[in-house]
Amino acid sequence: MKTKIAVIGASGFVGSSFVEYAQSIDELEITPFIHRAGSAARLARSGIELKTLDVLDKQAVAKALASFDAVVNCSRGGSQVMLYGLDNILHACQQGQPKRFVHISSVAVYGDPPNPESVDELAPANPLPGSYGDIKLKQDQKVRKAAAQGLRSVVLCPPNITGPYSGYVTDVLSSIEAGTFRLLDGGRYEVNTIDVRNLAEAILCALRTDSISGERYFICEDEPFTWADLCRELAPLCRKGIPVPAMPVEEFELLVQPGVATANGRSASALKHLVSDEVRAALRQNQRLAGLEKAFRHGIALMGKPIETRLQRAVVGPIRVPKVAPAPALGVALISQQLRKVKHSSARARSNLGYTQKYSVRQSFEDFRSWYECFLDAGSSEWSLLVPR
Amino acid sequence: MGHVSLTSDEPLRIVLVGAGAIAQVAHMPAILASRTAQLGAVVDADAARARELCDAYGIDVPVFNDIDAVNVPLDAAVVAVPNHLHAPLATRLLRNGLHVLVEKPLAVDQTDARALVALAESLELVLAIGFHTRHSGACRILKHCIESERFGRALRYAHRDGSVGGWSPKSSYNLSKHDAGGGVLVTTGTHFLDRVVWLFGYPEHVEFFDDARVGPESHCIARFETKGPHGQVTGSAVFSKVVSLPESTVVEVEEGVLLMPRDVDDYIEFIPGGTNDIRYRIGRDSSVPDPRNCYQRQLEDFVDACRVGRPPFVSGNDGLQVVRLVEDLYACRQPLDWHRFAVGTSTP
Repeated sequence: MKTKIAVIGASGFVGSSFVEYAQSIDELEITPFIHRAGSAARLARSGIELKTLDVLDKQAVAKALASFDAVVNCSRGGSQVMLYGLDNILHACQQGQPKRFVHISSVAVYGDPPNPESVDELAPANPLPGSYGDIKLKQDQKVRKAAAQGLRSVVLCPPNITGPYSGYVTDVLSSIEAGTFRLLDGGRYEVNTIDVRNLAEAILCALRTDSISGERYFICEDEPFTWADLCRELAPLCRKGIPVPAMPVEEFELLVQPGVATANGRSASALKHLVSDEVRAALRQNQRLAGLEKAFRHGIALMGKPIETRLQRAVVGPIRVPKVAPAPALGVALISQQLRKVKHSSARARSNLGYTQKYSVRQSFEDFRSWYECFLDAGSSEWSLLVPR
Repeated sequence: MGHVSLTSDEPLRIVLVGAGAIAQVAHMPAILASRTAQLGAVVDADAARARELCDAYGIDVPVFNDIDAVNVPLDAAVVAVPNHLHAPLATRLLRNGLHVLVEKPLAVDQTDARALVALAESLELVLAIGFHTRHSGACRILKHCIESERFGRALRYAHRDGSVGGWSPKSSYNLSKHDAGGGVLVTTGTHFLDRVVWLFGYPEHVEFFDDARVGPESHCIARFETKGPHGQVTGSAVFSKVVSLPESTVVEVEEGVLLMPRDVDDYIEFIPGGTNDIRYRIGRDSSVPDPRNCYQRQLEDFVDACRVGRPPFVSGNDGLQVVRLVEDLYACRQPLDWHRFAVGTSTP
């Protein structure tokens, strides 16, 4: 008798990969649930039957999931889908047959940048309110509550997901070729990655193991891997942008954070504002103030042009000319990921779920390169025509 | 239904057949925005959906669930239904005496496509195909540059177009090889295939690789060789629903590279050979701005063709050539070796 598994959000990267992986396992009967046809082409190529499900339709979810043994939730969307949709899914599992629930979370629950203590999952999770990590944390809390009520659940926390078809790695590659990426401090900081096939294996372990109670597990590759290593792995695919320019962290932080005014700076700034054309025009609306301003200006003029100029310069300051040089816009969001600096560990997943990492980081990127060259026709004579310009 | 002679300046009376996603976002607004066309009726197998579409735009026209039930005077039809229904519905509409603008592809096989073209010719009715991007300034300018050899002869070209997700028809017909007439080559690639034939001529030799197993392909690579009046031109295209590929067309010419960033824009760029930081932007005459999008331009070209009795800019024959090219590509299909990367089959 096969174990019947429902995969919600099956058309996404993780969902599709898990469905393809699990289909090869005889003991499992996989049913993929998708929301929209536009994203399901990868699964459709196999001829696998797809079912449509709107997770916001509580009744439809309950009916759809009633007869499965386990549910894997890979769904993503806006906050409504992620929160109310998950409520409906958990409710369906609790009311119906499903005895096991695996939820895909994210290391983002620990914040961005993450809590420095979050080498393991027991560190406090403090994402920014309203952020993606905050929504994922709320999801985790819902799953934990359902576990406390008897639904055997586990939460898997991957970082950026790599491997064949990885949109993340494709984006990094595009950023390198476009010249918008920089290696901070020479790229020496650790980067957390997980090959999608390792994550699929982790899902399988979570479905099989008995020791699950709503806990969260990091699923990350444990071997040392820096941002410089990542760029080296992608270099053979880059038509330009290599070597990736380096940038000191301090220079990058100045770019992304607003400047802090000094006390003197604040006073000068206030005075400049007061004598600006806009403020004076507003003050002149008042007849008395207009008269005072006129008298003041007359008095200054009587002192002579040189003094008037010196007074003006004392308030407004000298003409400032910033340094400029041609430079592409930087991919700040991607570069900022290098500031995370925490290497999460999958030790608890290995000991409690029986998870083993099947693909090394190097193998993952070797397979990505092979896939990319095959799918993007990188061997063709026209490949060079499409170099980013 | 029947139509009145198109001698007056009154707007062309159009029935919109199909009330799905493309009708909602493209054809309905094009008809409503045009001064030369007027919506006469909407037909959809689900009449309630047709009524919803009209309500969304605040339009009060009759709706029907079958074209044979339409009982208002009409001149032409716009057909926006799943691909496998294009030919049968267009045939019925032509036989009812209406000019037809049908969404691409013209049909899912050459037999039906040829029959449609022949029928339209015999009835002296306009048959136009919905390759709307050809109406962009960018495409017309690119055509001019290649034909005139303004920057030298065309040598090679490359095109990429991929989106993970994106267009999601309400009927989900894109997930059925039968209903769509193929996979991503048909749903995404036919606009470019039309341009290949239009710009360079029908290819003498093609190659095709895709990732289909049982269902429709989600990713494919097509290669072309054309021996035209200007010499041999080779090209390749990648269409994908699994890799995000910003749309881009590049044509290498003797003096540099012509770049068309998006096929719906009204300009292209020329980058002279040997330079990295100089590019010329070649656009339409900006003294006469044209705010119409490509769907409206397509519709108004169709209306004008109906009025004056000329072939539309994208004719039934053009649609037939694309159906033929799709069949030629599928006929020489080779599998992309994606199984190597499938989860569980690589050797770690």
